[in-house]
Amino acid sequence: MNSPRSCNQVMPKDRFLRLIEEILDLEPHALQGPEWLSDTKEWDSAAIIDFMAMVDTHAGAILSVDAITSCATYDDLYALIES
Amino acid sequence: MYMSPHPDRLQAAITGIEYYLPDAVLTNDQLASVYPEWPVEKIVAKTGIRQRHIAAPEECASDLAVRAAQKLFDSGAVEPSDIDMLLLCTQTPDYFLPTTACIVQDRLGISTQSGALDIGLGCSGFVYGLGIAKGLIETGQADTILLVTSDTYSKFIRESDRSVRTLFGDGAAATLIEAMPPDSELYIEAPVWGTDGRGAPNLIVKGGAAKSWSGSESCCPGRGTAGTHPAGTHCLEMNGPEIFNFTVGVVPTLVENVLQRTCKTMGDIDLFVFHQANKTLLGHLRQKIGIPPEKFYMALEDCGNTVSSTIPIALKRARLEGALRPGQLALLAGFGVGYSWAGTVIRWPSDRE
Repeated sequence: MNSPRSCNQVMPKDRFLRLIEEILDLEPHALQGPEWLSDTKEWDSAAIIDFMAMVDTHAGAILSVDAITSCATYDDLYALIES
Repeated sequence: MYMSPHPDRLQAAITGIEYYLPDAVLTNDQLASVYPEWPVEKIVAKTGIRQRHIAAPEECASDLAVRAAQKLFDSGAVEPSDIDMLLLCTQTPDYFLPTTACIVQDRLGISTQSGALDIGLGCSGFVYGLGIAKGLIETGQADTILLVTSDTYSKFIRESDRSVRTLFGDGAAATLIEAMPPDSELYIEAPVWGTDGRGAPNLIVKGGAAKSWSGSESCCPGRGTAGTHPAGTHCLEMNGPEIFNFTVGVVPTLVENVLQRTCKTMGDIDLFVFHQANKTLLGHLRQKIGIPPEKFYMALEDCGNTVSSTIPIALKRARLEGALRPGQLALLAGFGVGYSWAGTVIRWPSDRE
């Protein structure tokens, strides 16, 4: 089995945002962090699953769905995995 | 090598599989016209599915089951009169009662001296069925078991619900499980089981059954007050992110436990055949568990997630393509609605002369 890695070692914020942009099919550097999730029409349940898979792969963490859905911005999501 | 604890006892083995998919198909082109925000290629990229087969309005689980079983009989693998137990796994039965297996027994001309029962499980149901069949055969209660998986989830799916409509397809599979002469190795290992009913709300059809008739109301006019179902309660509701978390949390451990119970290593397994949920989930599980791509079988592009039939459909295709050969080992893992999960290892027997 693959072993979990520390989030801080592999996931600086810039990397995090680029991965989110890939998930959402956005142009590189389209996101800075403070944007509202609700303003991105691509942020749907399928994107949330891709996001959860990305965090598990790169940070070895399984996030709770309640914690994700309580986030309002991309910065909030980043704070979630940073913690 | 794990040796049979009872080398003098008959052993259960899968000796044939056939499947049936309804004629009508729902393509990504059709879906993309309904959900313009999800173009054709995005649906494929997210789900790994290009089309799903959909049962006709009058076509029910029993109809699909009969078609799949008839293909098995037509293949010459077995005669209806040889079957002494029919196990039918479905979550879309024709009726509350009678048991769909009884209807299918009659339609297939299986002996009235045989047993027949339904198994009310979804994506884990095939592995549960194998375990039950193994128990019946290896304790001398049956010799020739027909395990049919059949589901028509499309009947529960809202046209507007993109998240489930892109995933699920209808289908049925008929698997023959027979008593084989005692051997030094097992054909079907004892499964590892798992259940967590806390996940019930995350994949559910709330309406239609007794719980949806509130208070003293009865669904039977004349006996009480005929209630009405709130609109939409017969529809499938899925919390995809919660299902993802459940699966990612449970399946790697399930695989580990199956290997441990069977005294096998990852390297001993020739093919991993998981419930074909969707491409994103399967790809993530494969990477997380560390399964080489060439040992991980996928079979959902042309039929979608057929619930309890995904594993037997994949096994049949793997056998036809030579990805699973006689004597080889396949690790099976079923997981989903319930939550319910189960895993086992099977050894594919030699082809008959």
